[in-house]
Parts: sequence; C-alpha cells; structure tokens
Amino acid sequence: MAEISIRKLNKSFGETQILDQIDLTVRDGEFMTLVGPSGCGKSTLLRIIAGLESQTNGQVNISGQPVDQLRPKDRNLSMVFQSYALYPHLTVKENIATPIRMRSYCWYQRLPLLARVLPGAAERQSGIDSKVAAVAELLQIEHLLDRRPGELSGGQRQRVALGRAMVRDPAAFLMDEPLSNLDAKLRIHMRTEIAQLHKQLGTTFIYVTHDQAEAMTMSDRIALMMDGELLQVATPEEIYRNPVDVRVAEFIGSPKINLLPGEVNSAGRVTVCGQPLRVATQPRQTQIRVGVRPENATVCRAEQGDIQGQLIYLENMGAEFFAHITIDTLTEPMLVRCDVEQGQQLSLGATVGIRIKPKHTLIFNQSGRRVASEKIAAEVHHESVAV
Amino acid sequence: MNQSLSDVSPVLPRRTSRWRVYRGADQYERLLGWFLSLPATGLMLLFLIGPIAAVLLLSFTDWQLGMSAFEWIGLDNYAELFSDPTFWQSLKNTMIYVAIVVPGSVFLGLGAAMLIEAGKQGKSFYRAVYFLPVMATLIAMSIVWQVILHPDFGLLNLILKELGIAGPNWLQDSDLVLYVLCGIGIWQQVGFNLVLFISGLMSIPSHLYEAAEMDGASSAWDRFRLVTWPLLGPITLFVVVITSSKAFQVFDTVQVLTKGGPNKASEVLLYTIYTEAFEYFRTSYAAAITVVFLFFVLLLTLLKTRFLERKVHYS
Repeated sequence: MAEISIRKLNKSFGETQILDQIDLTVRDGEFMTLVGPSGCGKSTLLRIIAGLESQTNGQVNISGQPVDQLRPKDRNLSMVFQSYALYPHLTVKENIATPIRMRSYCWYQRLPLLARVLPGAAERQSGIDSKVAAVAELLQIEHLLDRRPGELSGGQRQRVALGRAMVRDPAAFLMDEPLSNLDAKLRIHMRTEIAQLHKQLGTTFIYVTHDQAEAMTMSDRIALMMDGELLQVATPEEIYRNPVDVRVAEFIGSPKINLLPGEVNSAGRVTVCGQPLRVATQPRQTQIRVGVRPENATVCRAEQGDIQGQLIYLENMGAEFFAHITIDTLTEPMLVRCDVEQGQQLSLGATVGIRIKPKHTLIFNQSGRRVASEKIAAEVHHESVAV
Repeated sequence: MNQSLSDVSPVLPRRTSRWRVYRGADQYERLLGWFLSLPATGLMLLFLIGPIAAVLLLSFTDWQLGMSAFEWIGLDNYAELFSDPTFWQSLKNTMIYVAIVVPGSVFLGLGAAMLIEAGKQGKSFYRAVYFLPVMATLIAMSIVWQVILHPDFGLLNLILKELGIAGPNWLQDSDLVLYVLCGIGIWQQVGFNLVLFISGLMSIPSHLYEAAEMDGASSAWDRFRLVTWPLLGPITLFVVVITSSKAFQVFDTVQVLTKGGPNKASEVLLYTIYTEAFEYFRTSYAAAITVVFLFFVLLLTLLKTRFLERKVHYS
C-alpha cells in the first residue's frame, strides 16, 4: 500500500523529449490508468516508476520517500509485462515462487542441491508453497502449477504473470498493457477480473494501456498522456464529460466525438456551418471547434434541426443505430446515435436534421483548449432566430 | 481415411471386398515407399554405415595396407591393443585433453561472449578478432605457435626472460607439453564457441531480464542463474557436443609441434591411429584403435541424447 507521486519528471533520449514535466500523484489504493496513443511516453513513465529506466530529471516518491537512487528490487513494486515475461524453463509454480525465492533467500540457500540440506529448508519450502497455493487459488490456476509457460494459452499465461506479481505484498502493481496480447473476448473478461482483483487486494495499481475502453471501465482515475505531456488526470466520468483539451475529447469515447468547425459572434453565440446553436461562450472567437458526442445529438426532420445533412449510412449495433450524416461544408460525416425504433424508420439518402443538445456541447478554442460554454435558454433561442 | 470410407458403407460383404482392394493398394504403397527411398538408403549405406562396418570388420583381421590376402584373427588386435602401454597413454592423454579443452573453451567462450554483449562499442571488432583462430588453418597457426614457444628465441620465453623468469622448454617438457597443447586447443576453439554464445545471448528477450530485476534478481550472478544460463541451454548443449567431438579429434597440433613426444607425453588417439596406419602400415591394428575411438564418440552422443537433452529447455 503506497502513494506514488511524480514531481517535474523529464525524460529525453538525446534531442527527443519523451516525457515533459510530468506531475502526477497516485493515491494509496487507487487504480490509476495511464492512457494515450502509442509513443506518448506512458510505458516509459511506468518503467521509470519501476526503476527499469532512469529519468533525465525530476523525482519519483513512493510512500513519501524518494526512490530515484533505489534499484527496482528495493522499490518493492511488482510489474506485469505486456509479453508476460515468464521464465520459459520454469514451471508455473516456480515462476510464481521466483519473487519470494529471490527476496527471502540468500544466494547459497538458492543453490540447486545445497538448498535442500540446509537447516530450515523444509519450512522455507512449505512457506513458499503455501503462498503460491493461495495465489493460484485466487487466480484459479491450481491445475496449471506443474506446467511450463509454453504449454499455456495466452489467458493462462496472463494469470500466471499476475500471480507472480501478487505472490509477495508489493507497495503497488505496475501493469504494462497486460491485456493487449489477448483476443477481444478474453480481454473484456480479464478487464473485469483485474478490476475485481484490485478491489480484493486494495493495493495501488498503475495500469498502462492505449485502449480507452480499458481505461474507462477499470480505473478510479485516468491520466491521459499525449506526446510526452500529461493532458488531464480525472475520473473516467469527468474525463468523458469535461475534457480539458480537444485531444482528450477525441481520444476518449467510442465512436469518436464529432468535431465541427464553428464561429462565435459578438454576442457569444456559437454558430456551426452558419447555423446558430443554443450555446454561448466567450465572444469574438474564430476557428473554434464544437465537440458533440454521438449521443448528444438527435436525428430529426430537416426543418427542425440545428443543421441539415444527408444520411449516407446507418450502422446497426443491435441495441442502437449510428447514423452517418454528411453536411455540405464538412469533409467528415457526423455520427449521431439513434434508438432502434427511429433507426428502422430512417431511409438512406434522405435529408435529415440534426439537433444538438446544448448542455453537453463542448467548445474548444483555436489552440485546442476547452473554453467554458453554457446553454442558452429556449426563449432566447426563439428571439435570436427571429433576428 | 480408408477405414472411415468402409465404415459408412451399409452392406457388409461389399465392405470386406473393398477392404481387400485397399489392402492391396496399401502394400503397393509400402513397396513404392521403399523403392523411392532406395537412393537415399543406398547412399547412406555406402558412405556412412559402410566405412564404419568396414573398419569394424578390418579390426578382426591381420590385413595390412598393400597385402592381397588376410586372415581372420578374431580379437587378437584388441588383445594386443589393451596390453599396449602406448594405447593406454594415448587414451589417457586424449581424455585429459578433452577434460581441459571442453570446459575451458566453453566457459571462456561464454564469459567473453557476455562481456562483448554487455559492452557498447566494438562488438563486431571483438567478434572478428576472436573468430580469427577458427578461420585460420590450425596447421599454419601451429607453426606460429612453434615460433612463440621455442625455448631459446620464442616470444614467450623472451618475455619471461625480461621478467626474470627462466622459461621452460614448453614442447619438450613431458610434464608440460600436453597442457601447452590444451592451451592452443582452447585458444583455437574459444572464438567458435563465442560466436555461438553471442547469437544465443542476443536471442534472449530483454524483458526477461527486466522481470528478473523486478523479481529481485539484482546481482549479475542471480540474473545469470535465473535467465541467461537456462535460456542458453540449447546453445550450450550444441557447443559442448561440437567442442567435445573436436577435442577428441585433436591431431594437427600434435603432428606439427610434438609428434606425440617427448616420450609419448602428447600421444593422442588420432595421432596413434595415424602412425599405426600410415607409418607402420598396421592397418588392421589402426582399425581396432579407430573402433575404440568411435566407441567414445558414440558414448558422447548417448550422453547428449540421454542425459543432457533432458536437462535443456527448448522454448
């Protein structure tokens, strides 16, 4: 159990800046996910926390103690690797036992033959065995203990890797894209299992992934990174509803948020494709982007919509439909969610209207930062339409 | 396939008749198989098994090179061999040579490979330099060694003289000569083993070392025991087998540098075979030594398949 805090951390390889002034505090017992596209520096950050790589400058503290001078072993962290990194020549049991063997025995107690005849050998071995058995039971891999990693499936290897990380009580678990080598179905299943494991153990988890769905479903808080920069640290709900940057808004959420080019008139009214929306923000801005998530817009009759477009494709997801609508002035079609009933009535090629829910509309300025916006009351809307 | 076809047939008599037809086809196929493998089998008999069988048979005769007739003399050659002190000396020397050169060149090769891999610069330079003795003919290199080891104007003794040490007569001292040859043998073999070990080291995934580091294997020895050594298993096995069979066949250096001397102190099996067969022309006697030699090579192969291979993990 430990709080991990990172202060003003930089990492560069020669000229290339990998991490830029990272400040992050992971609370005790928290499930923190580092998420971002590949190459954003999230794995490097994790490896710096683990001690496998060293930072250019800045500080890492575990439970308030700086650990920058400590070797990985002495930081008391456990890591699950993307490739699992199981020892191929050892059985599952021996793999899981390795961290205890390495830490609690000195070198001569680990010698192949001598270890058995040294005093106290039997008690030591039974101590290890009971810990391994407890972990194996928790992960339901008891029947695999005598196999070697080569004889296991991807999901089973994943569990063994988790077991090896769990067998001693680390201050925190570090996980580097542990699910990315599994097939889609198993990945979703293991998502739940790891989240439950976190609840059971109550230990700090730092989890690296490039999959926003994993980040959203598993974490207490998400730290979103891009180009070596930490863009936002917030709960999944907050990061979805209130992204501080257009890149955050684009990264989180599937299907992707719609970004429409817009303008703001002198009164602060937001217009998209020349059509006014019921959204107000700071006046006199050009080249803003208006972010609308697919569920925050509805398809309606052309004359009732805020903007109009042509329905070019209907994606049937079973429980819902996604309507792809092209708007004359835009290159990309806009995605709007509809319920099944409405989806079945829509016909391709028709001109439809899109109503945008003003409350959840996100406004980003020219440099991509989020700017405050508010819903304009309905009466105002009528007046302005009259004007 | 045949069986499953007949299984689905509803009428029993037809099934048996069809079965007979297929059996005929089966037999034809078997003959064809033998026929097609005939060239390979023939070549194998002629070139691999034939010579060995010939040597074995020869060892039970009194035939000598150039003779037109021979007699079967049973185990007489072996009886003579086992009562011949030269043979025992030769066998003992060969064993000592193998026992020193194999571990020496394997561990030095491994050590140097790890040092080179751990270094940052000049990897290919070191690889090339260490590999030079492997590329060069040992006969030619033996001449160089002869010059280096010459008691009066050899480089080694000149250096020792500078340091105030009187160097021994390396190749004429019967207590020393075998170990000098072992040294040259190791020198020649290390580069080969090193290159193999380097390729083995490069194939070990780096995340295993990171996992070992996280698991608490912080010392170099711990990482070696936990990751490097087990993962090099297959390579090490290969290197040990190759090095052993090469060490058993030591000949060039003995022929050029010592001729088995002084006083048979550097007599080795292959050299004994050579002198018996091509200097004294006692072909059948040499054949008997060859059989003993082959016995040890066979023993080595058995040791490899029965014991070592089980200990090695192939991922």
